Amino acid sequence: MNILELKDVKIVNSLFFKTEDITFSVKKGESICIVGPSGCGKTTILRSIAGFVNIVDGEINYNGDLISTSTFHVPPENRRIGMVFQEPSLFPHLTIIQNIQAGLLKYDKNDIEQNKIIYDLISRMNLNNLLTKYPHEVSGGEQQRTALIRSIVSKPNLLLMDEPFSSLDFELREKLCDELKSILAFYNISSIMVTHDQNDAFAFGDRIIVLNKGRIIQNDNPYNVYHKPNTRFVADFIGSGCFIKGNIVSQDQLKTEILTFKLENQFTNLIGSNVDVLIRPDDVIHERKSKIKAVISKKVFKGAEIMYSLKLANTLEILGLFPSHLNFDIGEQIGIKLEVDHLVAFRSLDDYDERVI
Amino acid sequence: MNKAFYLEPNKYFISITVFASFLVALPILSIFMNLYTSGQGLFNFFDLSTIKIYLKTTFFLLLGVGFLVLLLGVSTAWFVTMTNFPFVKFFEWSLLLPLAFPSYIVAFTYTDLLDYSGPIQTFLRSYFEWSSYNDYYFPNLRSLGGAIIMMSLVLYPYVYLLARTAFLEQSVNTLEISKNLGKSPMQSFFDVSLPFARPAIVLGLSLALMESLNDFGTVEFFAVPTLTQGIYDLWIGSGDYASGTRLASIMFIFVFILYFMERAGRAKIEIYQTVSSRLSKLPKYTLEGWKKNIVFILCLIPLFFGFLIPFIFLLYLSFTYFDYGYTSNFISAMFNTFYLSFLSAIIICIVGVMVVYSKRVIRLNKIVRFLINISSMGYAIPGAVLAVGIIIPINFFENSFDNLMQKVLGLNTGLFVSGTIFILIFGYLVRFLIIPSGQIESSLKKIPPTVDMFSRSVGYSSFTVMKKFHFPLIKGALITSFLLVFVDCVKELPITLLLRPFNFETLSTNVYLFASDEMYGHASLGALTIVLIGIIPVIIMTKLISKSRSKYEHS
Repeated sequence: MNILELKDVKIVNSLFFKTEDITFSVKKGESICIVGPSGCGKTTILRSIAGFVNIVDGEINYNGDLISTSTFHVPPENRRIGMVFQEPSLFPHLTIIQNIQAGLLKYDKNDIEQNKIIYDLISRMNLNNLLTKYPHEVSGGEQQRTALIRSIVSKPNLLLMDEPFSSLDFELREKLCDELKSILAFYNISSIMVTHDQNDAFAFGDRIIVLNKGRIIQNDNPYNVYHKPNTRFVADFIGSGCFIKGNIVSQDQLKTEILTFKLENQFTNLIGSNVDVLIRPDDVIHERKSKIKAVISKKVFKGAEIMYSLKLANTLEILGLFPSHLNFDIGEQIGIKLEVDHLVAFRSLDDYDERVI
Repeated sequence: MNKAFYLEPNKYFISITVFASFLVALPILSIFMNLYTSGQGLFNFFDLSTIKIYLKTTFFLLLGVGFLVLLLGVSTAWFVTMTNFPFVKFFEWSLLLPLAFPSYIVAFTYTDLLDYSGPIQTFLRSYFEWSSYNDYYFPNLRSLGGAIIMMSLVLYPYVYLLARTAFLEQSVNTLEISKNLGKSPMQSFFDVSLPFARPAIVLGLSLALMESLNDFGTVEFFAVPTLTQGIYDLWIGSGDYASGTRLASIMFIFVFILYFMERAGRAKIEIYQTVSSRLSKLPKYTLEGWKKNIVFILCLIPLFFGFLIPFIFLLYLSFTYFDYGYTSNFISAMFNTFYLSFLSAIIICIVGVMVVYSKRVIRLNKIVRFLINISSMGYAIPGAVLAVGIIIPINFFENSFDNLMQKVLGLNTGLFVSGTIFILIFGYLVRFLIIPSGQIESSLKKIPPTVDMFSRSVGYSSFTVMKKFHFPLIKGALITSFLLVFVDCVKELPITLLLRPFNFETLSTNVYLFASDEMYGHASLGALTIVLIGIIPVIIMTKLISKSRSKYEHS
């Protein structure tokens, strides 16, 4: 069952910027991540769902009811859609527990059901010791956890989150992301999270919607968004990688400067065309005896892995992600092999040109 | 987070706000209009050379006051904040006390004190056995120089207050680095503290100069021909409204310069404050020997002449002439002052809250935004000019209404608004609206708009959000601004003088009228009352400063 449905929604942000043709739906219990560069309209979509921005075309359905059209507009307080923001946005004059209670429209201290949820969430989020403190007395992470609880206590059918982890440091956000996911699953709450961080999106989303310049570019599961980007824009924006030039020499062969790939499907109509082939860092594997030689030009240590910039014989440069114990020095020559499971290629430099292979 | 959201607006709320901001903007706009629509001929009674004198005097008045308030304000602020010397804690708050004196009261007090018949000269004559004025030289207070000194004595606290806040907020790191580089206290003052505090000092300076431009009482006593006095002379003295209006337009040159100076100062302060985030206790220089005595005396001078002397002399006058001061006239003026200021403060605070809220919750169109911005300019415009700006549209409205009524009903409605207490309150509103709206806006800034959005998404109505979550946060600002507006209304002279109903006396007009007749004894009780009420904001500011101080020193 779909909790939320957006059909051809159009929002006018400003004189020069519109968000258009937004169509997607959210199933019960599903977690969606909307990613895209800043200023692409992510937050606007979130606010139109919450009811803070009017749409000028299309319609939004929530729980089977129509809540927004170009002429009709249910006010935010009657939608009961939970919201979490980039900054914790707590009430500065209320304590942590009072802030959490403010998340319920009618809090009754004798209501056992309400208190059960409140204290369940508090213990899951590890805030037991801070309840009587004021927001300015606790850390940023603790404030954001309070804000999350505050939006969840009313058990909304849908929770909207606008970059909720962006002000937290890396370790904390991974942990919080985990906690949040299990809570949402437990209470069967659907959610939409806006983020510009792909790691958050991969960790949190059942589905990822990639947005650019006010339009949805791709709407798919994280695996496909990474391995089967539908446009050059998505390939560029999600994950790192580089392109190498190639030519389709026959219906099942793609020849590049490094090696020739065998194509699984037949591409008769593309024979003779030049394409750019996407090489992800994890497609590159170290093999001492390989004929393809590369010189290390740069290395970035990432703990378990090292990201190498590899210079090939013909001035071509690609990225390779190797396990940390393969510790090479800059200038060293190594042998590499390409193991591309999902071959991805584009015909032109245009961002929105669809993937050909 | 920006304000890129809007909520279902309440129609009544918007219409009232738009109407209120239109009314407040109207006088300011009408003076703007007059800049371009100056009709027949030049000035009726005044030729160009007279205007030149007005301009020149005003320019030198501002220059002199500017120099003195900077000297007194910045030096005392730095000594009190950065050095240790005897009674430094006492000076911290008492240096604000002269603010309690409106400049016209300090002016007439000194006039009485230093006049030929005053106690000082009488004492000198009897001591040195001089018999007449010709036997000795005594500087004449009734001059441009006298006016500059009088105003500086009571206006320097603006600079002191803001410079001190800036010195308190400067980063300890930069000071430590400057010490580390081997700079002397003097060098770190000029190289580190002063540049950091410059925007705040500019802000304080522009506020002080706005006040001196607004001043009417002092220049009138001392017969110093400034633009403000010119407007009053034309307006009341010769009933030449057209010339008065044009003179008011000329004065706008000064108003604009000061207004933009002030805006620029404020904008810079915001940038600087975000830069210096780490604040802890400032390292103070401890002064020894003759240095500490000199600093002590330097800080005592403004306090002594700006507050202690006039206050004690005023006390003495009030007791000596109590029977002349405490009359039925005084009591009715006191009553008028209280209910007028009380009513005005309430109305001004309500309008302030509405303006701030419409800016916060409603996406306003450009015209309303423009009106609100214009309406917040009132504080920069001298009372005399503002009064002119109020009378023009009101008279236009009254005349049109009168014509209409005569045509339709054959009734003669006449001037039914001007000369009522409402016009006076309206004048106060235009001038003081910035006090509550500024205070409330800055306290509401502590709540990001996303808090409102969250509350609405939970299901609270916007009224509940305001009552439950906003009000506790703006309560303090509301009380503070009510008190500040109240006190400013009590002290305000030019607007009251020009817009009051016929024979309607307040404490300030009473004091002014007695003093301009040189009946200082009669004026003293009223003046003392105004000064005592004027101490309220000093207490408020002292509290605010110590609050922000303790915030820094605990962190």
